[in-house]
Amino acid sequence: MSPFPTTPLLDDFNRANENPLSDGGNWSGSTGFSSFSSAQLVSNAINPVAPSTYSGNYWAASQFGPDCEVFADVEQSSASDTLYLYCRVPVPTSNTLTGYLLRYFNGVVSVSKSVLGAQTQINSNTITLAAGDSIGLSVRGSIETAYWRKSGVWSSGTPVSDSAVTGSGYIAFAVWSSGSLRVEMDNFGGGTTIPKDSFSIVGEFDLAAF
Amino acid sequence: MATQLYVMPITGTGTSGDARRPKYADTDLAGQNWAAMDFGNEPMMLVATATNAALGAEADVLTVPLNLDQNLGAGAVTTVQNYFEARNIPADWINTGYTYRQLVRLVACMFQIWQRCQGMGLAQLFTGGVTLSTTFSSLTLGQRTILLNAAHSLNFDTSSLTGASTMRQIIKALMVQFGGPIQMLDLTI
Repeated sequence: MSPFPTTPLLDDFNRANENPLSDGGNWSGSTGFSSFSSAQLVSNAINPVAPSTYSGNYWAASQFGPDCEVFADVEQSSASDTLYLYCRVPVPTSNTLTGYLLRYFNGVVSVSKSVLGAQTQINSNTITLAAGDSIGLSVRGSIETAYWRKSGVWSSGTPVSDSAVTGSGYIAFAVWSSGSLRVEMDNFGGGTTIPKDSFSIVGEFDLAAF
Repeated sequence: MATQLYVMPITGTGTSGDARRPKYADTDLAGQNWAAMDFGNEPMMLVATATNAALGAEADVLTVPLNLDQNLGAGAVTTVQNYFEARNIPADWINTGYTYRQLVRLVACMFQIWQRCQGMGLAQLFTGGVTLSTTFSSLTLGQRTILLNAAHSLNFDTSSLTGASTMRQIIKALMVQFGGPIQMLDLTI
């Protein structure tokens, strides 16, 4: 398995409450779909803005990719709650979202692509996670791979090739909780990954030898 | 358990609550790990999962044998050609000289190219009278532009294609130019 994650933690959410989530402008809302609202930071973690309401934000400080990854801790306490992570999203505020998205819902980690708002699920991994475990998505070239960290150990899911969405974009999240308002996500990270076929040269050349 | 490949129709409308997905995602594939590759916005998918007898028994599912390195027999050529051609997947090039791995690789390449077109905004093409025999010049300007842009974005050579080229000829000319690994679960084809 390739090491994951290879990119830094961007926000541990350990600060005063924010509604809407901002971190000094690093976050903007909302992520996709017109019904999404900005999420809120409560007690050092991410909550939806209201029960049964999709709440999402994108990391507005920079775009990443094309090869990139995104990850976060799952803090759900109900199987009916949902956490989405997004990458390669060129226009995060669009109502017809384009990008790749990772979803954790009801014991399944799945990857979908969204092209101009039309979603296609491209893999499914059955895994039950607990609060404090993590999920992540890596997109390298045309290969999308889901990851999860259970009991402190990262594992990879089912890689699959998809060529629909290329180019750089924003990374983002969305959360949804049923019934009552509760913590859904913590410790968000991600960024640009080094292309698989790139390399670096370590050492010195003596040009006179050539 | 070994990973096996299946070709099947798609279900779902594409909304967040009803995503396009393998037709049997909620039944035969429920609780299973799987990976799927769609034919762009055409309603077909190549699916990789552990060998699944219920899936293999579905009338509209084509099962690829576990041994991908065996050649297709004459009977299998007919079966595969009939299945694909009925679903607008060119198959007249398939013969007993191909292994299943080569067959799946080329079909997957077609799907990847159509995904590139999908990403550029091409809606389902094979509908409203468009077939594999439709010529390039018969398509709308928007469709032609997307097809050309998609081919060029993949650095494909389109010099052999003209307005009189059929969709069958175009897809076959492009599929052999697709490079790089194609990954589905633990299979690299």
